[in-house]
Amino acid sequence: MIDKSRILYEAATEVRRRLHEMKESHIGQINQQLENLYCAIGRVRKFQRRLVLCSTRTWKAALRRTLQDMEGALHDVLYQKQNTEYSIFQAKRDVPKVVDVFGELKQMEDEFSEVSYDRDESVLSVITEPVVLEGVHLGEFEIRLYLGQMSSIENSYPFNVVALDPNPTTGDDSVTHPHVRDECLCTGDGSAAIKNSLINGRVCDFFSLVRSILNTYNANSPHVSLSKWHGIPCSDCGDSVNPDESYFCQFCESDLCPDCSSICQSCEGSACLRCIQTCRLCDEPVCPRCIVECQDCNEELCMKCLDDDKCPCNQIEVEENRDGTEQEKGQGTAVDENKEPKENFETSRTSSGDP
Amino acid sequence: MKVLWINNDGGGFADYVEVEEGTTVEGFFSEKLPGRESEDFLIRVNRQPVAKDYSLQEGDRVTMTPTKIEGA
Repeated sequence: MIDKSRILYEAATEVRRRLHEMKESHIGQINQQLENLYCAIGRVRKFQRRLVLCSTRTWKAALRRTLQDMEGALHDVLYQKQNTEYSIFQAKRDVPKVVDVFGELKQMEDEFSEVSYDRDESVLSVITEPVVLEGVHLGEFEIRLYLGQMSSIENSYPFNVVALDPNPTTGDDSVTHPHVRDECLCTGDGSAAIKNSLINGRVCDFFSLVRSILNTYNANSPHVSLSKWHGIPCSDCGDSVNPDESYFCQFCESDLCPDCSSICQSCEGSACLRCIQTCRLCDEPVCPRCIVECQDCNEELCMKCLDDDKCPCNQIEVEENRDGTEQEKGQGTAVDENKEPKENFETSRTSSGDP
Repeated sequence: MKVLWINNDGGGFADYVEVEEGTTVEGFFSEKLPGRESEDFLIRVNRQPVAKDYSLQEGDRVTMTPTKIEGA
């Protein structure tokens, strides 16, 4: 027990040291932000001089442009002022005493089943209870706070969420929770509170907030929705399929595995084996939208076969025409047997827009 | 009397607020977070769980953390 308290005291000391670093970094930023503020004010003064010139010489178009520029410059002054005020506020903030941070860590022992501090890596971590969302068991998570990265909290979160008994979504091991990908948590509504808790050294509040996010399912914006967590069931065979590898029949609106789907050779759309049709000539799969019917013989063909005049009824007409020509030969009419069929011969078509 | 109130719902700000003598934790919660259910929050006074009818004291540290927060 004494050793545990000593470890927590070391962790508290390290947290406080990092909070000091954070405060120092804000002090360092104030000078630069004041310079930016002076530059912004300088631009306002420049546009003020231009404004006077334009008014005096009644340059109306230039006056309009100058007023717009002045507006932008004033917005920039406001932006730089707010940045500077924020840094001053953070620099004035009191860093909590070691005893207060120690109290946070002791409270963590009551709120979480396991609290640990890796002195070498400077990582403070807790383990949550098993997370279950809408019947999907996601297991325990370890929330790791990297104390060495706390000073860069304005740019990135210094923590990871690691699944200890992963039950990732089908087909993507990096998504171990609807709101965790690659061990990074999308903090959503908790962003501001998480940042403020870390800035003020309220580490127990920080871990509690992260746990609250892990225990909540936001169906509006997960990486993968829970309804598809274990893949999508194929409508035909019932097998579970990775959403990224599934197909969709646009005609009966069903989800399909690769084995139960077919691709139309005309439009390359996908369809199920019930909705897909087959060209009677080339035997290729054709979707209901691309299959065409020969007006003469009602054969169902793909556009390619129809365009190439491959319909059987076209072949029969060609032969009949050739027979007719040969009969005329026999009746004394000279016929050139190598002559091409008549140019006014046309194939009946059901589709429009053909040449 | 003044208590330190840390509201982790929303911005997560901490501030000293005036409360009347005899105000219970339940009453304080209803006043500060009207329309919300206390069961949806982790409520701690001086880092400890307390009963609803606990009367706040001068200088108490009251923390309220939602147990459900939507991620993105």
